[in-house]
Amino acid sequence: MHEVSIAEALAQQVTEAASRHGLATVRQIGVCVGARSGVVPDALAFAFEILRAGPVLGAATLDVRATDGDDLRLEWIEGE
Amino acid sequence: MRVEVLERVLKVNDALAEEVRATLDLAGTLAINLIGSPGSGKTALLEQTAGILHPRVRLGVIEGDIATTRDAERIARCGVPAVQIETRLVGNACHLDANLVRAALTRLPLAEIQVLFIENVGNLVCPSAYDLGEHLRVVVASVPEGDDKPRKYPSTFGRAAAVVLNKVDLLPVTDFSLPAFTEGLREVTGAPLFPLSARTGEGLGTWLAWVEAQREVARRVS
Repeated sequence: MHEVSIAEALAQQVTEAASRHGLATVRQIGVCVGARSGVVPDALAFAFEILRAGPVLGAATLDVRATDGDDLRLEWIEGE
Repeated sequence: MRVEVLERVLKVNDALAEEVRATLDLAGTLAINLIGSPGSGKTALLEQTAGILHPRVRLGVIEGDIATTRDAERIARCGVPAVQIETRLVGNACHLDANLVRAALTRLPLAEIQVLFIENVGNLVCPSAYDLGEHLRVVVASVPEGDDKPRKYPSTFGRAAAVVLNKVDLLPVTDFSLPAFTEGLREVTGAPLFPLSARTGEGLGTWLAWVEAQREVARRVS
């Protein structure tokens, strides 16, 4: 399913955001997934778990907020 | 430490899609992203459309499949410029993305194409998340798939500028209810519905008129 390619895009985006904000390690990633986005939250979390690697993302987990709309957004990242 | 990011997850794809749209606009080409299940008759619809409209309206086609160049060959036999994207070469993707379309555009004589159809990989779910840089989306459903599809796939049907219901010649031999399909469709979109049969040609006229009208609208705006 396309959740794998979406997880790849997300990993790239989180890595960039972490570097922008000076975070060496990301623990949690806040993602908003709309009911009409065409993305299944569980499948996205599973795909991300398989893909995550390296010092920045290796231990990161997704915190998915489900909404009614069609948005698919990276909302926040947490780490140090 | 928590920091706000607030970005669309597919922002890289979206940026490429804007680039594709700018290229199309510069060439004066209207692009239609055709989404539907495998076997719904997307290619058959394009063959019929090409047979009647082309070359009075000059068409071009980008075909997306996981494997084979079958569909592009079918379209090329209609005398329409066609290129095939095989996603087996890029990780078996179940959908097209803007990057693939951008590359395919370089293999087409864009200046000679007034309406470009991009036939997505057969799939009613994944393609809906990816902006390809198209101007309009059209969903192709078909009678044997059942009349509950708009309600089951609202994210796909909800973003369609028009919906084609293909294989209406099979209505008498199935339990498909056209009123039920229409009612479900109206719950998710007000887009026009074109019931037709790409096999018999029934109902094709209104679909073709819609395509031509979209072309006219696009030309007046640009």
